[in-house]
Amino acid sequence: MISVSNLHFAYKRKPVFTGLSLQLQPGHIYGLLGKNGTGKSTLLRNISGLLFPKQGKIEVLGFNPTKRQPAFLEEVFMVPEEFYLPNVKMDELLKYQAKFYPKFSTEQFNRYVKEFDIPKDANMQEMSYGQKKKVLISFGLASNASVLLMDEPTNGLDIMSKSQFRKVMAGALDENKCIVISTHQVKDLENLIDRITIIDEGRILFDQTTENITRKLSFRISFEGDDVTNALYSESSLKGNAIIELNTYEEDSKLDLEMLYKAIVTNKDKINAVFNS
Amino acid sequence: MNQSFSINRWGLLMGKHWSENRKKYTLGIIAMAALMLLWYGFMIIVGPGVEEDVQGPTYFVGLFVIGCIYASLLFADLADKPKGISYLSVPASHIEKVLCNLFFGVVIFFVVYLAIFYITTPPMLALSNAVREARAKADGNNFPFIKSQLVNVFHFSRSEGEDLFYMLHLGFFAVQASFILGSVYFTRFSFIKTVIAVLLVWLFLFLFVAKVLVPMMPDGTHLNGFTNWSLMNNSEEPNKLVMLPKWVDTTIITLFKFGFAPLFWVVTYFRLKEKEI
Repeated sequence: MISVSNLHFAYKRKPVFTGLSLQLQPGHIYGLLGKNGTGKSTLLRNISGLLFPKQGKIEVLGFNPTKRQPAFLEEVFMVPEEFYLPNVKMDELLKYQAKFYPKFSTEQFNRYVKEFDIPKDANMQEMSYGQKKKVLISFGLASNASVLLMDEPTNGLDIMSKSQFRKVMAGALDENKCIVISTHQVKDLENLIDRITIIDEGRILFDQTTENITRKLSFRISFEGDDVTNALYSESSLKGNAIIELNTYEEDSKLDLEMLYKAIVTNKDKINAVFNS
Repeated sequence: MNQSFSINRWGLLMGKHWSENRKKYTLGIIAMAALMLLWYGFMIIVGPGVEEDVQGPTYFVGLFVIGCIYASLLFADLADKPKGISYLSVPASHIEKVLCNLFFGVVIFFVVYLAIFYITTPPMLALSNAVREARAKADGNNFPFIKSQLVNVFHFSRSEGEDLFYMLHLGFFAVQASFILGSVYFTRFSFIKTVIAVLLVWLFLFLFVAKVLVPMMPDGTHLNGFTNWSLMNNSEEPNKLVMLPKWVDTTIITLFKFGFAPLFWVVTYFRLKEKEI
């Protein structure tokens, strides 16, 4: 569905990607994680045709994004971190913008808006940043675009809204859609994403499904000194030592995305070795 | 559906543009009309009134100044990242986007400006004539009072050869087109930067002709057009006139008259196609 091969990209003389390759398939919610400035937003904007690769190739649903053809734009919806919505009423937004998306469902939009607690007759001008963002997310989901790119979608959302966001997103995925969520607020995406891709310094640091991760790694709290010594990663907490260890007996454990992220950033070779063995 | 141009999609785009900008446009129309009325009022109080010699310059100065300012704002969304992303992500082709902006910025602007001129001028002209007549009577002037007439902005009665007003209109569309191009090229301060760019281009052309082309020619001067060169002759023989075929002259003049605006519109389209945000 999305194929990125040997992507090179630079802002003037500052290189961001030097040969990044990535394949994204439909039916998944991908979590694109990474530190600030590692190129997460840049990658999304390259995929959506807002930025052009300096070298390499990107193909989305068979389209070359740089051409920004209408048929491509109908199928790829971007929720940027810094977004714009015109100061119109919601029904006007639907009247004039929804028609651009052939698969747009007003019924779905109304449902999402309701789940997000947005008053339906509200004007965008009167809405808070968080409310506007929820309208945009609802619109993106209701567009039924095959590719939904979300850049830091939970930024600016309050605790309740983040919970609503997870609920809405969980019900939005189908086998024909590919959702890519870029974020550094990893906690917001736990239980939502099913594949984790970590980017650092323009390279893929880690790329695994959550199923594979929980099959090979175990996340738990331990009070044993030996556990900490043998752990792939550990950190002390008030409840004891949080550790990541090999899931030798394939026990069920709850994925701690934040800890996994820290483990990979601090010692990627050790973690990747588990998946390469 | 056609990926380059679809009348249906173009119609949607125009509806979207209008729904998002109608408040701004309504205020702009009111401001233009108010400005014109104020100017005429000022001319009635302290100037010669709304004479033919005031109406023509008022029309053209307003057309050039307001038209170029508006033109420099036509693609202003591209200077703002969130708005630019929203604009480029709308599922319409680049040609549809350019044609939509040209429709509002060139066609609608011209029609509306013309309408404002012909709506505001007649009542102020009547008022001006009444005031001038009253002043003449108060001054004891017994000559028959000659009322000022409403100017036809498409025909300058005192022109010899090419109609001055016709040429000014053609000049306006060329200059306006350069400001439209400037609004895509320059992300900030597009109006000022376009003014500087246009002046630099003219300066370059002037210097190129004066310092490069003319020194290459034998002693002489241009005579009646671009392609006639009168050779200076110090002997008693009559001066010689070197003429290129008439069609060359006609082609160059036609290009100057009608070529610039479409050329800049086409360049605007290509510039938009390669725009990255």
